[in-house]
Amino acid sequence: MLRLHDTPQAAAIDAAAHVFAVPLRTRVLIYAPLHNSAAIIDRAGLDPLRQHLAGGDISLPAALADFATLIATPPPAVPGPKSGPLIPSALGILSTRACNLACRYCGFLPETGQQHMPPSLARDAVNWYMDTVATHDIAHAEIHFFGGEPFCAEDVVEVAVHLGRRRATEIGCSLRFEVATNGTFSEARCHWVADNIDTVILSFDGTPDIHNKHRPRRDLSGSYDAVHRNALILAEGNAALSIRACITDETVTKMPELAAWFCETFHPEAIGFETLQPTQWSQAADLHPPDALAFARNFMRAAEICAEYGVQTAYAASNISAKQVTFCPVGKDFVIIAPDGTLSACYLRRYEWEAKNMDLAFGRFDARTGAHFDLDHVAFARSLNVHNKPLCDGCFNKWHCAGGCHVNHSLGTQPGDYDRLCVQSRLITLYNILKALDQVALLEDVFDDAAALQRMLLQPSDRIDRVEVPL
Amino acid sequence: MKAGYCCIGGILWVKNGDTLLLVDDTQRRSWTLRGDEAIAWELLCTGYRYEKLVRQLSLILALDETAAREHLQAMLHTWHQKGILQQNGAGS
Repeated sequence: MLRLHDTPQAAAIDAAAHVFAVPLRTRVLIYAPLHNSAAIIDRAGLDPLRQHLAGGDISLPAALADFATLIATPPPAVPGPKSGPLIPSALGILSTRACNLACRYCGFLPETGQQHMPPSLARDAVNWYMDTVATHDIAHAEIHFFGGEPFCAEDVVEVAVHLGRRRATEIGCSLRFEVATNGTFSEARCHWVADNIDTVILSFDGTPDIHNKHRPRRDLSGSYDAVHRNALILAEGNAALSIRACITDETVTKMPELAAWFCETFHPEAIGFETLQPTQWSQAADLHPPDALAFARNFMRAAEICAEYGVQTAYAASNISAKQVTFCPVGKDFVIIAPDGTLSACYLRRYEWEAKNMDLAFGRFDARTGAHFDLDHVAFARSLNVHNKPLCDGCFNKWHCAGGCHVNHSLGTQPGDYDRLCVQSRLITLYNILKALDQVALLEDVFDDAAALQRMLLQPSDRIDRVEVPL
Repeated sequence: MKAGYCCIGGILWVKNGDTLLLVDDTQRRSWTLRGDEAIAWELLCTGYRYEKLVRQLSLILALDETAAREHLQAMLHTWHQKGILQQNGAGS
């Protein structure tokens, strides 16, 4: 890599690959995510800036000169895939594949084999992970719980938490626990969660009419009352509460009022809005994802409301503070243990990977001998990164979205072949950048100009040396 | 098998890091539980049956079940002596 920068010309070409230009009607956003820098310029300023980046001797206005000099240098660090021996970045525990709800959009089919993890396996896995943390002198450990519904095997969570904390005290490292839950546990368990878990990602789709329709129990009664009660308990407890709401075409216009209600009632630390992932079950229930533009626009409105309450609004593929080559645990050496002892890179079910011709299992855990990894499978998981996704190559959002879910987000191969998820991610990331620049009004203007919106969203490449912005 | 004890009435507790602070507001007394005692107290409060409690403690504390049972009995006895617990059926 260093040799690439031996000549000024080579350095300039490499720098341009990390600088993006997004047309906003008469203005252009210049975005250099790896330099943590952005600027708004007039269209007329684009060509001189491009020439400057290409190594040309161009005189730029004083206001732009420092910025241009900064982005003309190679970025301080380009995110790369993991390499070398697998040292777990975190431990994920799939305490059970069972769930007490029958969410109308959920694709979690009953799976044959071991549903609940034996608590002794959780003990052994936590001991293995904390031994690894000690061996490698890691200052901060992370244990996350996934399901099914993790608290359908609450004894497993309990063993892992108490044991993990004991081990962390012995080792002298910090340890953080996170759980993704449907929040239907008992009141007593909720108090335990509030006291013992650091971050609770609570699936909560909204008011009773919405939540009970989306997320009934197995007997088809509503789950809202328990979730509402527990969200109030969590709001008062030590755990950071992060609400995750699934948005459909029916609820998309209600996002602003849902945001206000969540903020006023539950005082969460963050609200994550995600669009429904279509499944055969969601289609049978007549639930559909929202239009991408409607979602992005209502996300923006919801975010403005949340900001008034000091609540962060999250959309996972548009976090501009994250610079990453992969969007999820896959490829980050995050080790997830399933109830049967399989070690994998992903918490989705095996049949979901297999439907996409993937095998994301990369090892097995043995009670006597510990974790055993298949290095070819580890390499495969690491290969699932944005460097290997041609569609993303010219997208200004590539280091934040990184192509999204490797299993459920099927990517086109042609530049600009963006789908619904790409469009909404690009818009929300753009909103986050413009908000940081205090220039959100520019995006509002683009929403009112269909041709400009189309041009901005679907340009085949955002790279500054390739983008075509009509002057 | 019953644990043979229950919490005296009026006890409240709050968790602060790895420490539990128990307060008997009616008698104006308080106790601090740490380490194994704090874990055992939290397990008791989740309402497990006694044998399940023993199994959970044995996994968390890396004790065999016999040792975990003895350890638990010793903690229950201590709490009884301190007035945190009372014998089942003794009223509150």
